[in-house]
Amino acid sequence: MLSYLIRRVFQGFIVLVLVVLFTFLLEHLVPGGPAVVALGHRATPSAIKQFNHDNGLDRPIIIQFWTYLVQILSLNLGYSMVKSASVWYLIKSALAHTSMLVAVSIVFQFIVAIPLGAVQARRRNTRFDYFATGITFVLYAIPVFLIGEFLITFFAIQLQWLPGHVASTDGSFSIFTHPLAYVLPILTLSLVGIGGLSRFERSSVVDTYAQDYIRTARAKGLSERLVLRRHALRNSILPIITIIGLSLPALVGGALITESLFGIPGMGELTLTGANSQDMPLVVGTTIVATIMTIVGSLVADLLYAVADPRIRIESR
Amino acid sequence: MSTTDLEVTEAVSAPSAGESGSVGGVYALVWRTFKENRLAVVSLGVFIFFLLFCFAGPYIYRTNQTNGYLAQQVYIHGVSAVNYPWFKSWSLPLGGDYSGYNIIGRLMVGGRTALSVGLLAGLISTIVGSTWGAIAGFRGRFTDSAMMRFVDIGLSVPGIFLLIVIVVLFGSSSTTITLTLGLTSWFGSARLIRGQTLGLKSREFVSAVRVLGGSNSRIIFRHILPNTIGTMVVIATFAVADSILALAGLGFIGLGIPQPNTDWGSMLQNATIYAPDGYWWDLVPAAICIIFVVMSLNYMGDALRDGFEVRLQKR
Repeated sequence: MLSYLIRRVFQGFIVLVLVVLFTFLLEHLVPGGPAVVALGHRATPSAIKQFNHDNGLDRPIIIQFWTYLVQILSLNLGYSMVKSASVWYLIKSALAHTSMLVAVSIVFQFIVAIPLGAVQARRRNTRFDYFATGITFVLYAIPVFLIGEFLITFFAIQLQWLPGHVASTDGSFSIFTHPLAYVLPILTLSLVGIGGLSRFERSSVVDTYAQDYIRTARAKGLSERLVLRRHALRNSILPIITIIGLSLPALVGGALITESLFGIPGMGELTLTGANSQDMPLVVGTTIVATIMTIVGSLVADLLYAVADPRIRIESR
Repeated sequence: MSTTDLEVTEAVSAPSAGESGSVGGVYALVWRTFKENRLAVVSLGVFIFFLLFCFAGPYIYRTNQTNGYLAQQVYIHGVSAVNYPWFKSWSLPLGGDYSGYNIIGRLMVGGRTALSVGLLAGLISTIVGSTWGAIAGFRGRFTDSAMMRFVDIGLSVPGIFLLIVIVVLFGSSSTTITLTLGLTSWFGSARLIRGQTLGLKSREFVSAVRVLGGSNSRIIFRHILPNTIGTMVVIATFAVADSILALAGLGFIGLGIPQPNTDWGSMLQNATIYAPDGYWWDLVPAAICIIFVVMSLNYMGDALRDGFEVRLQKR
């Protein structure tokens, strides 16, 4: 278990270094290089030269990358001109919002999609099954922002039940102080995932039902409910954990759009502020931190998988 | 390898040439299964309709998409009545948008970008992913693990962030976006094709080519890849749908194709900005286009997957 953990952490670290390399190369690929990125397209040649000298950009590229990497790994992500603050400081306060949004959404998806898929599998090819399949398929095809837009129009503007846009300037704002403001964002982020997950859970339970041990369980006289709960459901949940781990990049991306829709002051909102004002350090910083988030998240998913499945634990011991 | 490919590898199986008659026979069989799926046939119709609408439409229904009609003298609820749908004897059947463009014409322009970016990006993604996967699977050993680690990396980066970085650095033209979408979305397909290649490379026809003196690249490009055509078609269908969605998302957060060009996502973003001012009719059309195109592609992909699967069963 421990060696597995170490290997996975090492792999995650490699991913991180390569992503840093990628953003580094991108900045150098822009005509004019990082100086133009930082100073703008109208910078004079002498200003560019001065900038390059000040920031060590006239040194060999390998050394440049090494300094860049060390800087980023020590969380020195640069300074945001637009927000007049260090990028890491900005991200630190935004990170809690995004991770909370994603975490609660995952739990919510789990709670809804697994029972739904299981019941669909048990009553497969009934009218209920077809109905649920239809709905999940539509949900799966609708982009996050349309779902969000629909929820806002319906629940926030028409019915006025829930707030559609939160007061993002409030410093004390969080899911604990304003739980109602989080209802629609979480729904928005979860509905797409529920579509995919419940479809997967359904086919997973159908597969499990065909296994020999289910026949054994039935043969020894267990009730259908117990067969489902003790045997079919537990085994079908395993692949779901993997799927959630894999869908993390999409979830974090969806969180970006959700945040911009509802004005939640998270990483997505920060990225978009950066993008709209050409604030490169901010955008690169959030990209790197978002990557770290997904790496850590999929690591956690793998560990949970090992906890949930005794076979993995024994194998890797 | 991780457990990720179990989802789709089992679903999509390659037709293997040389075992069940001519290639034409294979496609006829796939088409027959496809035809039985009523939803898929409707989806095909919807998709063809949108292609015609966006690419041939502007030649039939001419609208001015360079200058918006801004003669705003009559106001209804604070909105220029010229832009109101059904105002003045159906000259604007779906109304005009906030800057006076005819919405139907706007949908055509936006759809042209959305569809061409989606189709091209899907094509790039499928070609790169399939080639990558086939080479990795065929070479095996160190090359394989190195190439697949790279795929793992690609799969763990949230694509939209990379997209934003690139758009900020290089500007959002349709070329940039197409290339970025295509080159950041092929990782999943590389996994699928690699899985199939592993099964195909030990088959007799591969040994036969090798005995006849065929090079490795000949085996990969002339024999292994053509045998994964079923998977590739299915992958491409979903890749196009995903690219259209991604472009729409990008447009929605304000980083889409800039004016005077547009795309469905950008239209939607503009609509949400001006909807509170009374432009309610602007919200629906672009949303419907996105949903219909994406759903039709998804249904077609499902039917194609079934088609190639059935082909295998009847062998």
